[in-house]
Amino acid sequence: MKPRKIDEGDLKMEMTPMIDCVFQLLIFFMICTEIAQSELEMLTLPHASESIPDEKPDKKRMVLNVTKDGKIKFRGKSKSKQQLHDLLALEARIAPKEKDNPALSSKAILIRSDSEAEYKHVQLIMQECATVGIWKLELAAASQKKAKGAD
Amino acid sequence: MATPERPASQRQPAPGQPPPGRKPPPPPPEEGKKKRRRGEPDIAGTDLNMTPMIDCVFQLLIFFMCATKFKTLEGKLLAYLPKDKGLKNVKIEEQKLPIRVTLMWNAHTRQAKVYVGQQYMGIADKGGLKAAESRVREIKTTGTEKAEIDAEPKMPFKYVVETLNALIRTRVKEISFAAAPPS
Repeated sequence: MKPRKIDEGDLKMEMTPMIDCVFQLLIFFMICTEIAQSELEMLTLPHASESIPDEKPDKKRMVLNVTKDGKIKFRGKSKSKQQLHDLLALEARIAPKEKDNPALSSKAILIRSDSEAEYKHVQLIMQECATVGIWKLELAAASQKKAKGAD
Repeated sequence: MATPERPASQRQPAPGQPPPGRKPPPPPPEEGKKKRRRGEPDIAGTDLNMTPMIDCVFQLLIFFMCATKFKTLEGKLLAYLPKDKGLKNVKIEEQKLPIRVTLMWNAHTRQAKVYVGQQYMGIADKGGLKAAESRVREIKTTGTEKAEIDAEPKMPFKYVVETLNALIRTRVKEISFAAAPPS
């Protein structure tokens, strides 16, 4: 049987559905990408099986990162000891206070430290927190993966 | 008598023919097509060139696909610093010494030694923490509900967290961190 000849002049690729899909994907990736994620540094967090998931965190919670080389970073910028003190003092001043002790802030701060960072940097943050009246701390940790087949 | 012949411009055009000297009218529109007025753009003739736009969109798409790192849910361990300052509210009679877990760092061997009180438990990575956990459980049965982590400043943070994790597992009520030595 002779194949039917197709008139190539009449062939048109329907672009609209493809453009629709591409735009959908583009919007999806744009929304998923958190540009403001600079608050979270790329760190290797220590493992802790007893850690609780950090679900629905307070959006205004202060996050301090301690990098492997010992830099204390807040929103991507390294802070010296004095800058850290000023930052924490400001945070403690504007935060709501404890009912039983108005000198203490009732807001927690999150310390994200690299597993290989020296403890003295975290200790410094703790010390400064205690000085300015922040007593609730959260230490970021990666929860260990469940073993295969475990309930 | 012969009438004088009219010039060509004054002659009556034949029916269906344009008058001489004028442009012929445009052909009548096809059926179903609206007649285009003067100044109105010819929409049917306009062709939007989609290729550059699709190029850009694909570039953006690939960029976002490569740059996206999905946020993973992290865990956290709660830690509280002491609320009181000074000796104002301390009842000395009721104070019990906490179980002290000491972490010593050997920079040469890169190993963390674990002590509970004065007792050596072993290297943290080689069962030292497990042994410390068991020891803390034993001491806890005597009624001590407080533990303190005393780590050297040079200690990698992961060992501090692992110790804290082990102490949380023992269900000790209060876990504190020893203050840094004065510099």
